[in-house]
Amino acid sequence: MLEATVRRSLFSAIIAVAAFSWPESGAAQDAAARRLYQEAQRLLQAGDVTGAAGELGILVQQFPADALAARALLDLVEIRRVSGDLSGAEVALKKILADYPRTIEAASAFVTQGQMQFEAARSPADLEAARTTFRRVALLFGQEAFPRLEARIRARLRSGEMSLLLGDRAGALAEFLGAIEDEPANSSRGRAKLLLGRTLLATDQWASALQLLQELIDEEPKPGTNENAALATSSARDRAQARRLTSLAHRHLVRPAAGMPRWTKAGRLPIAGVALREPEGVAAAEDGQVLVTDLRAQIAILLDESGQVLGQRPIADATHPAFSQGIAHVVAESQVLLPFEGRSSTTFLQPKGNKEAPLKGMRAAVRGPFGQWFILAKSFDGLLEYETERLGTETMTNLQAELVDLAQDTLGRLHLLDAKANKVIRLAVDRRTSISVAQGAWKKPAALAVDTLGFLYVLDRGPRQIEIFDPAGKLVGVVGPTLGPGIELKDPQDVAIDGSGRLLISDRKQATVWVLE
Amino acid sequence: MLVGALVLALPIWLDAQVEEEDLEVAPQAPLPALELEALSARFAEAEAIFTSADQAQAGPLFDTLIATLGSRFAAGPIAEPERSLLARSLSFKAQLLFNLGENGEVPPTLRQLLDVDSNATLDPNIVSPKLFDQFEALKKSIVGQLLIALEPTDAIVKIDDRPIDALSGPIGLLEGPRQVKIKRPGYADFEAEVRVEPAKTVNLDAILERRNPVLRLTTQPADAEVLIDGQVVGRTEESPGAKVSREFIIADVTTGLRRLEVRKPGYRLYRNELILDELIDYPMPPIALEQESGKIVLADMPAGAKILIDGRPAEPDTLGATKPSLTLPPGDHLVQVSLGPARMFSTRLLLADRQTVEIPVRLRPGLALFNVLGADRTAAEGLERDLRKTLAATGQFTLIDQVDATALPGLDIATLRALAAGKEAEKELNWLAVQKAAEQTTPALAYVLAVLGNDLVADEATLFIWSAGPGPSRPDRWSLRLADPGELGRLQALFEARLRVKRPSLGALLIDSNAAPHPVVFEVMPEGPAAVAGVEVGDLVLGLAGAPVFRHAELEERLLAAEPGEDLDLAVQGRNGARQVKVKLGSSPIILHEAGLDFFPSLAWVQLAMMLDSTRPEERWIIDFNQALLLLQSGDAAGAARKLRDVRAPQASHGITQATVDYFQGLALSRLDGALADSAKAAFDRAAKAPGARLHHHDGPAVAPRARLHLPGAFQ
Repeated sequence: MLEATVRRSLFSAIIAVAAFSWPESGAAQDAAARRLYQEAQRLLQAGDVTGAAGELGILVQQFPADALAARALLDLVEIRRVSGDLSGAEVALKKILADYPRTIEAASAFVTQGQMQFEAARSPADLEAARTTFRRVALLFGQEAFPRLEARIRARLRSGEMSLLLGDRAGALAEFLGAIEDEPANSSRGRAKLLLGRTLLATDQWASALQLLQELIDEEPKPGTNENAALATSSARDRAQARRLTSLAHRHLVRPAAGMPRWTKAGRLPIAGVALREPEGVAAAEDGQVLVTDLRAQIAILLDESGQVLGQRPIADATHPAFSQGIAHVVAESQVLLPFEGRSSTTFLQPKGNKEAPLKGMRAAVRGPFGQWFILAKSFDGLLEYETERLGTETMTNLQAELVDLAQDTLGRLHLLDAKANKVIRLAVDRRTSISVAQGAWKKPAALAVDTLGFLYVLDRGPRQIEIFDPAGKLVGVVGPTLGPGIELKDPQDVAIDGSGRLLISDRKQATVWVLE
Repeated sequence: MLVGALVLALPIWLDAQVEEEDLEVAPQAPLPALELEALSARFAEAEAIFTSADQAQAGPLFDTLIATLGSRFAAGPIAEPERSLLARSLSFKAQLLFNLGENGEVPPTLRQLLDVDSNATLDPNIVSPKLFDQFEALKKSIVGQLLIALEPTDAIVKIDDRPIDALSGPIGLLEGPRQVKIKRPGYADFEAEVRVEPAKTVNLDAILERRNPVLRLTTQPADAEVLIDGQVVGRTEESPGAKVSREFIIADVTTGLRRLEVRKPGYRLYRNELILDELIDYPMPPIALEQESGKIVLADMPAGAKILIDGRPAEPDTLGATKPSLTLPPGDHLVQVSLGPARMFSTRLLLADRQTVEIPVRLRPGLALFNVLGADRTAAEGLERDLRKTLAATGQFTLIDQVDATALPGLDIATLRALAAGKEAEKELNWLAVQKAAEQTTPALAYVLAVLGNDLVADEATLFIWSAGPGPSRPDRWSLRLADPGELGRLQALFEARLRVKRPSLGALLIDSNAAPHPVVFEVMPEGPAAVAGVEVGDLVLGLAGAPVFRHAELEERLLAAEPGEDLDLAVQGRNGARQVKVKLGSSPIILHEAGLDFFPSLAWVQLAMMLDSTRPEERWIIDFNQALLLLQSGDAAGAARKLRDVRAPQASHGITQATVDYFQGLALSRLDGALADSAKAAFDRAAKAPGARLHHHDGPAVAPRARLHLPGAFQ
């Protein structure tokens, strides 16, 4: 099953690359090379990855001067990458860059290399290296020689995204704007608008941002328009994300400016066919997916934006649900479980003392931008950072804090709710700097959420309220205990916010998840 | 009455003439002119030597002449100049022999002279009396006279098959039997044998018997076919140096009512009926054949326009008339009218004889369609046909098709295919040179060149589309799958798209939100149309002009369909409930941006160029601004910067302002040499300080935040 998935994703990856850079026609291609290439494509489609790699290898070896040779090498890179042979992929990449340095395939190879560096990154320095690789594309493959080069635009966008993770917003904005203004019309322009709009929103230039995002939303193709399927999917995803951003801005920026409440209605989150008993945790993804854990029913439920149940798994002691890089996971005593991703689980060991004993009393966990896990556990005051399940360290122990929840924003920054100091601490991506971004006179602070714009939501079980702070830490609103006519929070346990700004609160006593829209 | 249609044919006697075709024994073909000229020159040389002191040297020259012409004379009748030259040579030869004392040779030479010309004489004042007497004695001994009483006198007389002038008196002939043949069209042939005796005169009465009438005609022009009663009787011939033909004689026509027809391709049929009731000659006045022709009338012909008919300049028959006309031969004609490449007209028509066709002249920009490149001719010709049809169907351009692409510098198939595949060739191909060459060979405003994907079995092609200078010199490209007829439809739509440079302005910005079922107002321009109407931030726009609106794109589409200045009813909902407001739409220039273009930049340039004439002077900056941006998009940053330098937008605090121009000037300058970095920075700086300035149109994105991104350190 997994293998089939790999094959499917491999084939789509290669087709997606081909869609950008397939030599349209007319290149003097040897017929035999073309046949080999077509055979490799056929084998890929049939799922014979090894066979396909063999044909591509022969093509490269026997027809190194053919226009398809570089193309074949690029496909080999993808095959090896998706198959997990990263060093093999690296060898093929280097061969493209050495033997076919001034081709569009070489430009694509740089993008792939940067992507591989990003995926393997374990530190900001690694991110910086990946960004350098992406930037190299624009330097080596300028517009004079390559007026229309999709790889250059993708590299600019990835470089901008690296800049965001590195905290260099100005650099990111310049790359995103450049991809829109300096490049001819291209299929990545929508993505560039999304990234630019999102970044401008985070820099208080929200009118410009909203207009840009709305431009992207308006670009919805008319029915019957012939569009590449892979591009259509990614464009639709970008447009949907843009719309969620405008929705969030509507709640946080437009409605308050007009003297209107952020949320205008409240109700129970409808979950078809499932009766909650004691909902404990609730998490929401940017795309509107919701993950709920119920201690009494001992289940975890995954819903889509409209409330349709996408999955339901029985899990004992499941608490603290979360989404990391879009993947749903829950904490269960000493494990982090990915109940909807092949049911995989990871048991973490004690970072000190008996290092072979499982880590008990896990409260919360999220996965960081470099693949590491950040965990809060009852027996440790500080933040635990695990590079692997066996290799954990406790950080921030000198704070003498009582960290009860954590949340990660879109830039990979961690936010920690400190119940002792009654504040929210934000850690930079490199975790070298931490600042207090919100403070309150909370009675029983219990849960924390952060949205795409950087607004913070702190659940205080004492007064049964959620306090909302803007990205600068200013209290901008309070929700609860009354949510609406006849709706009152009784026993709130957790809070979550999705990409559109829907606020979700789990209420154990009322056996429901309230949703504010 | 048949007689009324008859042409009066007067009987006259024909002038005497010799028609070569009437001779029974065909004469030898005359010597070629050059050869005769050479013989004449040799004769002149011999004559000159004869009169010199070295007379004897003339002998071999006369011998050569006598040998050459004598052998021709022996073979049959020869032309008069040759015969005269031969006779004179023999005369000199005889004198020379006599002078040299070769007396034995003199009599045979004199005899030969009389064989050639029985009427020959020697001048007693020049030749020796002895020789003269010798010649006269010989003549008396072998030459007699024949006197012919001839009627009609223009009949052709031949003696021993040699044409003879019988009217000038007795004819000297060598003794012996002589065959006399007399011919005259319309008469029975006359033949007689006479015996000529030395020093005697024989009389012959030759009264020819009239048999039938004779019709004599000429045509203008010659080479026309002549028919009598539907039967071809011959063809008139050119008469060198004359407009009319040589006379054509129909000798075997019979009396009665005869139908005469003369026909020649390209000319109208001449037809007449003649009453030939007497046995006489009927000379016709010259028959001037009328050329077949039709007429085209050019309606709405602009003053000063040039006319080309089948590629050649033509002047109308009625210069200065409101509807000039031209007379043309029947057939397929290409009619072209042009007033520069932006205003051209071209049409093909099949004109029939006597037909008048009125052609409404509609001047449109010229679009040159090159022949499709690629060796798969079936595919190429099919694509040429399809493109011609598709582009003609747009009605936007005057199509100049079948233009030869081989004159364009550097444009070979391999380079174009490399370009089509996005290879590096683009930098090696100087499109500016291509653009200029195309304009020189085929003036037009836009150009389309297609190259097939391969030469064997082509299934796709790439179109290169560019505008004339000073428009963008980089072509737009369009890939076309030949088997997909829908692609031509899409291409046609791109060519048919109409460019707008003004649009209505609402003065409010809206977003779609998952938190609301209708678009939400998030910004209202101060003093703009929406603000004046009372629209506020946070309002939902429920509907427009009575129809509900659920998405911003719908609202935008409906707004764009309205006209600036139009009053629109807007249903809005704010915190105090729903209400209706009336918005008077403002007017905004449109500043093109590539993402907003739904057709080719090259065609956008063409449309802008066409708009310039009809745009009010105070709004021409919009055209210039947009043309500059098209140059910028095509990579011509220098051209864009130069054009932007002269663009002056109206002073305003909001919308498209000079700060918008500054922003693009900054972009153009920043893409040029680093030496202009300061100028670029200054331009961005001005743009960054104008919070109300917008991109694209009055309700477009703000300029300032983008400008700040180009200023190092200015970003917060």
